[in-house]
Amino acid sequence: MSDLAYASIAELGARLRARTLSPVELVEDLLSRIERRAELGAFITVTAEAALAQAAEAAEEIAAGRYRGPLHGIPVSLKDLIETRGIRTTCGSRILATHVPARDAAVAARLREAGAILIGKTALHEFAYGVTTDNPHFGPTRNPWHVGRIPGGSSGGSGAAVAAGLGPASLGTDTGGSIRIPAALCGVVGLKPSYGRVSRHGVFPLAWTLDHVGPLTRTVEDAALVLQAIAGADPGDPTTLGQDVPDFGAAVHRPVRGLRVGAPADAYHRVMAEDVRAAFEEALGVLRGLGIQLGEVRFPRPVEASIAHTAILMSEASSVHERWLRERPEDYGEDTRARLRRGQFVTATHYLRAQRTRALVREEVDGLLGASCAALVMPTTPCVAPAIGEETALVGGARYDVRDALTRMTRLGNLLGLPAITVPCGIGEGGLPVGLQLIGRAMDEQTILAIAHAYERETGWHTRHPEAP
Amino acid sequence: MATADDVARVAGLLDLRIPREELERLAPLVSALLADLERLRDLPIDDREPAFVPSHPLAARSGETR
Repeated sequence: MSDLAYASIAELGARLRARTLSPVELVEDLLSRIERRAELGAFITVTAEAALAQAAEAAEEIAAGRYRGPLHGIPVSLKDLIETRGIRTTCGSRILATHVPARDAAVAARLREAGAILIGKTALHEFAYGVTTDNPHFGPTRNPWHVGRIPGGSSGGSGAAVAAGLGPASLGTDTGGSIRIPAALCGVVGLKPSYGRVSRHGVFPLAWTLDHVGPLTRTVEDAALVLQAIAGADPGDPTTLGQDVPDFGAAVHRPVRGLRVGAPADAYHRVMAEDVRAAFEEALGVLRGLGIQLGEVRFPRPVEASIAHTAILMSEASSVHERWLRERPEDYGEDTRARLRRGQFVTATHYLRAQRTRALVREEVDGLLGASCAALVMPTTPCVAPAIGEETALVGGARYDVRDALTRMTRLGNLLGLPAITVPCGIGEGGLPVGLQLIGRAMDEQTILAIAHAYERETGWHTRHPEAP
Repeated sequence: MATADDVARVAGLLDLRIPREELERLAPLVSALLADLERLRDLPIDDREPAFVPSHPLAARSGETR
């Protein structure tokens, strides 16, 4: 294993800028690792030739003194529902298996402008509508910590790639937890920004009002660097307009002593497996040691919020897919088709009832975060990665549908549009990673970045990596 | 609990063409989904407009996070 495999963006960037490392050398090293770990199924498309050409261009620019910033010469991958000009974008589907977009998504264009090098398109659950990344058209993606386990999803290829040292960063999308779940199950950092922080233009939708785009990385600082590059107003996505983009890199180093953080103590949030509970309680001790004032809080109406999330997700997803579902239903995998069918039975009145519930819960959670704490803390998932093919997961003595179990702690963040980050916080059953989630106030990624960074430095869980065969 | 025949009738009204074996599998799932949605009926949302996009009036500015 080369010393480049698990280097952070910050470390690689310093070497690239000082020209002690060439982008070409970095990309060549990475491509050979991707080839050696093909059994993980992390990538749908590897853009080797284009990546090498981009690397040569970056090397020339840096040598000529035209250094663009911390992502210049850094290899990144994109979940394969983020449009890339001239490079197929399959959405993990048979329907779009040969689709080659004529444009870049806004986030792809921003990374390109920042000098990042696209190394490939990562695997996902079909159309991002699931959490296993056991894809019927492209095969399963495997967890680098245990190849018999799922990496989570839907951005499972991104999680597996970053965890296995197949690039320091990947962009994923998150509608019910699809950045944070694979990041947690694969032992890396995953950041879902606030709704409206990052443009969704050119990203194939799962559910318009729940979708978010964000990074998976191996350190919190790297997540901040990637967020800095992709955040900001974009006329292509009106929900991003009118925001100021703070300095996320600086925010990472803010002091955290004295911050008030709430740990939800309601019955809904207390459901977790014993190995996760042990890691979580240890993490709370670390946070206390950092001077954070922890208190128990009650998350308002988590069950009803969860139902509202499901209704909105199902209605919007079924609308996105309405034409194809009618004209070519046989081209969907069985689980995706079944979910899309269910959404067709949610009426407009149900949908609006769910959106009105969303307004109610949003106001109540705003009150909670405004009055008593700057952030919430909880496990990211209530159990470690289930086996590939498992339909249920054992959590706290009861069996839950895998999708319901894994999205339990994450989906409310999508309903409310709040920023959330997961960082590795321990090793659970089977030697598999456990994630710690921090949820912040709307448009305040800075506070959760600062807490996550302080936690990461204190514990060092992010330096643990799966063994390569 | 909705039966496959119930779901088939609704599917027919909506012009959804769904094979019978899928309807059999869908019926209990649709029933459960609709039962869940009934739980939202009792919430105090009469004076609420739908949220749609989760933008927040409370968006924190730098330095307001403690």
